[in-house]
Amino acid sequence: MKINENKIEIAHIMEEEKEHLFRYVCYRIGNINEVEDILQDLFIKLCSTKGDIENMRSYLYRSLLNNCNSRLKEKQRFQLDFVDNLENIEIEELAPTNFEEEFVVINKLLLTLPDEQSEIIRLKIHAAKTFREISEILHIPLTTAKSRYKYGIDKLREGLKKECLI
Amino acid sequence: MFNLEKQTIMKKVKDGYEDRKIEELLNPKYTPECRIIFATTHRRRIKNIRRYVRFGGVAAAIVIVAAIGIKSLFMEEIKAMLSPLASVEKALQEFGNLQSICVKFKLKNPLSDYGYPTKDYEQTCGYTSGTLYYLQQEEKGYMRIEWNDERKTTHISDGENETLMQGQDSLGEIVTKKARPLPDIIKFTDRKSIMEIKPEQIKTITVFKSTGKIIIELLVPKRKGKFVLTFVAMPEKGVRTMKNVAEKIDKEEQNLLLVKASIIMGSDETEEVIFETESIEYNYPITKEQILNTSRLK
Repeated sequence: MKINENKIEIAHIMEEEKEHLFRYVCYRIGNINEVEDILQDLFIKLCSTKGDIENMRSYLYRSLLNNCNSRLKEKQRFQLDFVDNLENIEIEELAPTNFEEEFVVINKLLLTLPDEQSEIIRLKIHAAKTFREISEILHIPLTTAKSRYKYGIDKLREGLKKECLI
Repeated sequence: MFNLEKQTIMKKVKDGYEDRKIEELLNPKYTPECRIIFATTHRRRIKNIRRYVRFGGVAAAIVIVAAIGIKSLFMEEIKAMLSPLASVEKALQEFGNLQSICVKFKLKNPLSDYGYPTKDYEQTCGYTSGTLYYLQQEEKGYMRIEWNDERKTTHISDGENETLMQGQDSLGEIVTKKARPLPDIIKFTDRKSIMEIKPEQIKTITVFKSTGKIIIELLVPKRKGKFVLTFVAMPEKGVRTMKNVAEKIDKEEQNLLLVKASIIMGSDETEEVIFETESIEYNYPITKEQILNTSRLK
């Protein structure tokens, strides 16, 4: 009976977190069909996991992060001439009018940051996680999560100001 | 001193304002609608699972539709001697008229540990058998594939959504639902793959015939000649050219009886069968409700 209860709990959590999970993966991957595949795989993988998981929500996001990272590495998805500065961003791009444009501009911005900072920004803004939740997901101290977020936003602010984009 | 403090405060206010602006830039406004559903059901006892099949259903459907296209291609060739491309086009149109079909098949489907399908057919991998039901009703296509894998995977498509059910343990199943319209997939992939076959690309069309049954083998070199798709219809003995067979085909036997897809790979060009049907039943008696049922038919 316990296995089944776990499964129901996982389904419940995933339904609750669905919008946040979906949004997080959308802006990492960009392809909606693939996003659905990733979430479906995640659900099945979690249901197949044996043994007790202490914090299912954190585990869920950790698994999702790993899954997205490995997919992106596998496919070398970012071949959109993203560079590590903001020189190639046009001011018009900062006002996207659809998902595709928005995906590109958000990723252009975030790719100028170190992964450890952009990941926290994605979790905070796209997955709507609190700093405490982020610290649990990434196994880092709460203060580190906060400071990485701040450094990331600071860097973007300075970069955009330098390019007269804000 | 006072001025310095004032300046610091002003800078903080300005930074705070700009920070919010940046957060606003990073905050998505055009997120697509999330249509996936996560749920569980409890119905029957199912054994523990080690691995499972995904997407194979769609692959199988595509192969079958492709095969139906090839079948019609063959028949059209006989009747009117159309070009293969024109015949395939016509065959795809005819597919829309298909009412119902039940296909038992086996598929070689290499999977990673987590069930991701791989395209590495050289990987050692067994076959998974399954049954595909397809029903065309009220201008909509309904499909159900029941896999005989350890998870008892079932794919159901109502033409708009694809539902995947998998037996997980002895107490129930995992169910996920994705908005993935089947006809579009078939249309797109099938057209893409079949329509890419140009008459000059077809290496050979061989027809085997004996006692009213025929085999059609269409060899299409793909990707620098390394891959060859073979579609075979009706396995029997004897070899004839298409023209010779055409006159002798019994109208009742025109239906496709077998589909076999294989690839030839490696420098030694070994042939690997990746899909093969065991039986195909046309106008199979099945209802929309049966196809969409969340309990296994078999």
